[in-house]
Amino acid sequence: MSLTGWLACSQCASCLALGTAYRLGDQRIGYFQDGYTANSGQPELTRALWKFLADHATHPLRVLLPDTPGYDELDQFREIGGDERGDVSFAEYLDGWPG
Amino acid sequence: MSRGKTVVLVLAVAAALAGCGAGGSGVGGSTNSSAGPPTVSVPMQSTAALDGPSSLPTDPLEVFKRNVTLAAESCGTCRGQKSINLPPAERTAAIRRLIDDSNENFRLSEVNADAALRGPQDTRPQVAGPGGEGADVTFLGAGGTAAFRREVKCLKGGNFSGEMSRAARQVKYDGEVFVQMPAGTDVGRLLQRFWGGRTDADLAKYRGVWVTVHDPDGKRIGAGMLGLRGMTM
Repeated sequence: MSLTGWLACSQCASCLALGTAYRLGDQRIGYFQDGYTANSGQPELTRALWKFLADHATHPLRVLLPDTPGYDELDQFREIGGDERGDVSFAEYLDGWPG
Repeated sequence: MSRGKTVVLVLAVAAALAGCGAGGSGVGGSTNSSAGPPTVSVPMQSTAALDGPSSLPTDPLEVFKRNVTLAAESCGTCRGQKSINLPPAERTAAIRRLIDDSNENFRLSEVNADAALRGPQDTRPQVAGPGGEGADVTFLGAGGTAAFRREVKCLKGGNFSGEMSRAARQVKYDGEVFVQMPAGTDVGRLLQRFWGGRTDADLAKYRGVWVTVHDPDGKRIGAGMLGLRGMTM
C-alpha cells in the first residue's frame, strides 16, 4: 500500500512527482522513490528537481500526499515529467538548462 | 480505436467476465450472462509478460484479451486464489502491513487488503517495504520469480490521473492497480479524464495495466484498462 508524494507550487500550479513514500521504522517518511531506482540515481528526475527549486524560488512549495490539504488541486496542475496534455516532459523541461 | 471496435470489445468484456463478481466484488459483476470465462489463454507465469510494455501485444483486441485473462486469473472471485497463500501468521502480518502503510485518513479496509493479497494460482504474495521497492504486492511464482504485480491505492478522487500514472510505473506497466475509493465514486468519469488527457501514443505504454476500484466494503465499483480508451470492465 503506497502513497505518492508530490512537490507542488500552488502559485504556479505546477508539480513534480517524487514517487512512493517509504517509511522508516518509526513510521516517518524516510525517502521517496519513483519506480525501481533510487531517486538520486535518476539524473533527469534529480536535475528536474533542482530546476524546479530554482524556477520556484521564494514561492510557497509543499510536499503533498493523498488527502493532505491542497492535494486535490493537483488535478489542475501542470506536471513536470508527466504525460498528460499540458504536462511537460523532463526532456523538454531540461532542454538548454545549464544547472 | 474505432467506435465500432470499441463496442465489440465492450460486449466481449461483459461476456468474458460474466463469471466474475461473486459477492459484488468481481470484474464485470454487472451482467447476468451465463457465459463462461475467457477462451483466450495467456500463460500466467509467462516471464515475457513482466518485461514491460515492449513485450506486450500492440493490437487492441489482443491487448484486451490478454488483460481480461490476466485480470480473471489474478482475481480472487474469478479464477484466482480463494484465500491468501501464506501461513496464518504471515497472512495476518501482510494484511496489517498493507493497512498500516495506507492513507491514514482513508485506511485500506481489511476486506480489501485480503482481496489485494490474493493473486494467480500457484503464487504467493510478497508485500513491499523499505528495501523492497517496487509494486506494493508482487506475486511470486515457481522459483521465486515475479509472476504478477499489483499496486494498491486509497484515494478519495483527487489527482486520480496522476496517481494512475505513477502506479502504472510501479507495476512496470504490466499488472493491476487496485484502488479503494468511497462508495458512489464515479469511476467512469475518472477514467474518461485519464484517457481524455492523453494521446493514443501516450496511452500505448499503459496497455498492460488495468485498474479495479473497490469501495471500503469490498464491492467493486468500477474497472478499466488504462491503455485502451473507453474500455471499462
